[in-house]
Amino acid sequence: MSAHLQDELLTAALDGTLSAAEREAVDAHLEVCARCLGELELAQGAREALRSLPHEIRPPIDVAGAVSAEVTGGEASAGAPTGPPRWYRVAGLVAAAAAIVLGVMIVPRVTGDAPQERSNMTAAAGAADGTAPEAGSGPATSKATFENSRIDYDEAGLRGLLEHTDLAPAATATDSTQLTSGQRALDCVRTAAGESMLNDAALARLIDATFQGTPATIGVFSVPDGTGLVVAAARDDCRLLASVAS
Amino acid sequence: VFAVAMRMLGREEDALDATQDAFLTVYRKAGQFRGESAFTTWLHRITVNACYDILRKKARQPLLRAVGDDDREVEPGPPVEDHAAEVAGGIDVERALQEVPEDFRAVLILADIHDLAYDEIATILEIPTGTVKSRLHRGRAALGRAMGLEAGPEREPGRASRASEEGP
Repeated sequence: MSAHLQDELLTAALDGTLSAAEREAVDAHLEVCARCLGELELAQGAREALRSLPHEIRPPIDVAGAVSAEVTGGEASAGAPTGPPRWYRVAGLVAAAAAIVLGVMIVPRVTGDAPQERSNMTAAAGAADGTAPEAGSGPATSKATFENSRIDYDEAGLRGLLEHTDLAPAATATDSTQLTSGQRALDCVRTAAGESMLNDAALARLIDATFQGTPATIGVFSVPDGTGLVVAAARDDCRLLASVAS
Repeated sequence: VFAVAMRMLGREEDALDATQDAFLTVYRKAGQFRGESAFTTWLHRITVNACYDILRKKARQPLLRAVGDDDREVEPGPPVEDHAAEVAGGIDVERALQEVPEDFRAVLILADIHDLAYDEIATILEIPTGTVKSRLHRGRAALGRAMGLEAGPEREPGRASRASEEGP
């Protein structure tokens, strides 16, 4: 063995990923080499300190709150030509992106993990392409924001939503709900639409409202080719109430 | 996303910018995500890249940075638990982390805080797995020094009779 242990070996020694032979060589070296032992102990202290830190750091609440107040109180301005203030953008995007993250993370659930959860729903198409991403436990997605609306939509109303498949959140009240209910709502929309239809679509908005009097979840999706898709699903049995595409 | 950005950048404002940029990218590229890698890997890569962009931008504007920066340094955000001692220790670690060079820091954050595997980190940072491991060690050592964990120079050598000298 050369003068001192390589960095890679020291890492593997701490993380317990050495092979038996490596382990033996490392142990033998550490018996006689104070410098490597010191390095190892130094790294070990740092490793333990890092592992004691919380995974999550919450974004500052005052910013989100201030901006959401502004969003609620301000103009709808889905297509405001001038650049909105920075925090406005942050809050709007975080809300929308939480929905997107939720949308992507939901895929494996819908494609096969939990058939019992939708036994009474219309059958969705099978696994979309066989390579569903793993459901990561993203701490950033512990809450998903979706919108509550008192509007009773009809086909024309859904068509109106198509014009706003961009990221702008609704100017109406928004409501943070637990991931699970957001998940269920999105599940429902995806079930109603059928998997293949939403393959490449990114969720832009998820709205709790009614469709011609029926309690419904409305998903607004944007497809990468620039088109949009709006799907209304009945809240009770996830049947497709209506869908419009641009 | 925000936690990674906060630790990469050390300042709340920058972390929010990076978070925003990352989510924008996620939105724009949502259609390009084909599931060939785990979603979390993809999201981490976008986040880390957003952080590097901001670090590069700041490196180009050292003067602006000097003016605005002294008011707020490392604010690790409201901690979830509130055991006073633990929190104080945590803040020290967070502060020390900012002294670790950014390439090492990225590996430390992904490996030791977010507990990702070497291979996954290699994919995220687009570097070989061996490099992940060596950066991880160097990052840990640098952090240990920044935290003042280093033992004095007179420390006892293991239990060996001959102290290790330079050379084989």
